[in-house]
Amino acid sequence: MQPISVAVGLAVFGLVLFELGTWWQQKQIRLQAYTALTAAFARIFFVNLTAATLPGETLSPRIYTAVPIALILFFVWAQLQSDKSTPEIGRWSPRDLIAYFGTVCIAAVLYFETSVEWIVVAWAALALLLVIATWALDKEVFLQQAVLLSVGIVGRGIAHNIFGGSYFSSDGWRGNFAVLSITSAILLTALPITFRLRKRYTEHPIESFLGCALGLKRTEQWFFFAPAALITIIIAVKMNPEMVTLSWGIEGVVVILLGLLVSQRSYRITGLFLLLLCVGKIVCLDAWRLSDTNRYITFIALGGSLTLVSWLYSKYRETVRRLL
Amino acid sequence: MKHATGLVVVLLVAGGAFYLAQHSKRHDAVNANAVVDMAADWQRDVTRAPMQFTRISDEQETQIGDELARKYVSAQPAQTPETRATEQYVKEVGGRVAVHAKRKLNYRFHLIGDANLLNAFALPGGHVFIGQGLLDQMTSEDELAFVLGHELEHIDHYHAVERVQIEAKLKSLDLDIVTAIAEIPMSSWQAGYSKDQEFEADREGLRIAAAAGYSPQGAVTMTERLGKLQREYVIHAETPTGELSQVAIDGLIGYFRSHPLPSERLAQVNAVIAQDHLQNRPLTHFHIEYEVTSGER
Repeated sequence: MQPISVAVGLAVFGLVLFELGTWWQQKQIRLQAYTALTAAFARIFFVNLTAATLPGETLSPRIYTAVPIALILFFVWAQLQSDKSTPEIGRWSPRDLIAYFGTVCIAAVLYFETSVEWIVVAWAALALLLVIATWALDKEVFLQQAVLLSVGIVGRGIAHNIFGGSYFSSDGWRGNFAVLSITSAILLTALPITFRLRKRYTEHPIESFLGCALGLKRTEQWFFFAPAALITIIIAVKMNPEMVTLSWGIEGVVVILLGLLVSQRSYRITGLFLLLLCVGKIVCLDAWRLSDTNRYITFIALGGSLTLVSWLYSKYRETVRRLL
Repeated sequence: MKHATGLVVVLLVAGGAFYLAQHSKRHDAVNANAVVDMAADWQRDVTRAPMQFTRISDEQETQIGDELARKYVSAQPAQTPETRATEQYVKEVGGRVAVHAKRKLNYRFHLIGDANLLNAFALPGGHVFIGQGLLDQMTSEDELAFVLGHELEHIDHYHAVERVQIEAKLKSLDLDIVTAIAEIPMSSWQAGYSKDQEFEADREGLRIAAAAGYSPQGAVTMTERLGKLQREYVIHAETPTGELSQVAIDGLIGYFRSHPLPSERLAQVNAVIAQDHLQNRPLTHFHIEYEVTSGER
């Protein structure tokens, strides 16, 4: 067999065994099916993911071999959801692990198939899909994956897109602003769904250990702080030094407005913290270092921002008091 | 019914994928490169931030590079008139390309007269080495310009000096003591860089070679030739046991040699040519001239 077909073959074999094991109600056949599926999943890391598109090929072998494997894994996972029998080995059940294998397959294909700068965007889109899947299917496992992926996005965004970018290529730096802005926008798109999920999990609390450890009851915090961290850090590192305070000030106001809009205390405090950081930076650094023009612009803009925030706090005093 | 339909759809998709994979005319090697690439890229990303805050000066980098180069050159056998002339030619081509580097260092180019050395590498501070074996594979000056540009960009973009910083940290060497840094084995420089850094060197190397007046087709033909060489030399295991041994061996070597696949490099080269609208010029053939004198007067 061709090296890239082995994983697909193993996955199909695993699926057939799984169906037979379910049909005949034979646990050992299903266990063999899980082994074949695990082998198929592992195999893609040893050949399929490095099988780049050759000249003349229209579809990447990574996509046409790894995606069907993920599809098989999700199909098996879906079958296991309807299976109410006891777990396969003692208290252990392969259900969630198979769903993790499927998602890792997709995330790995995106890692190898997307250009290095845009991996975070692809992963952010996958995280959004996982949040939508959680909402639509009411399956906590996808929310766990979405949260873990958002941690990966922040890690890669900071390490690769912010600190790992080229030292010289100017379009790369501006490019990274664009890439991280799109990533943040995609992650923020998940916010409305995460608020709905919070309501759902208030009524039906999460019981799994991993779910509690990842704070799945409050995923709106993950999907707010991940983009907020990326934007704050990229401004600090890549922005023209004379514009950092101004940019943080604008970010702070936007965050406070968002906090008031969705009635989130943590968001408002983050916005206030950013404004406080700006005031501290102005007093300690900018007042002495900035050019005259930029100093005036920064002072006026930040003064305006602080006045706006004070006005908002006075206008929505009752709302703010209720949230405290 | 729903289950049966789902099963049929999944089997059809998987069957189609299997058919496509089986009928593709590919020669993929089984190895741990995917895992190794990811590990190397993450390692590079994680170390990049501290590198920026602890960067050594260009003067210190040049001192370290000079010491490493001196040590390496002195270990090489004496040059023949032919190698000397070829080295002079490499220096001329490299000099034309180096003018377009962003960091204005004293770039120097060396030829290693070993016909089995199919490699080129760069040392921090501006020294670029190329093996006779690799030179023998080339058919045009433009290919040489691309290879030298690629190595030069490893220096220009701080890849080489970052390796010094990492090695010094790992071996607890003092960056201020040049002789201590010169103890770093030469294999560290010959090993190549992370996939991301190799792509960057390819991209920028092609750009500076083109800016020096060389045809971008040199990069295309050179990358194609590297791909052909890889296909010829990579061993394809015939059995599962063979695959396992290959994975183990390639994994160990691959950690240090995480070069991207030639097909991916070729795709990037073509993308840069199209994106930058690089002018297509005819390839320039090699022209090395030298005289051998008997020494009698």
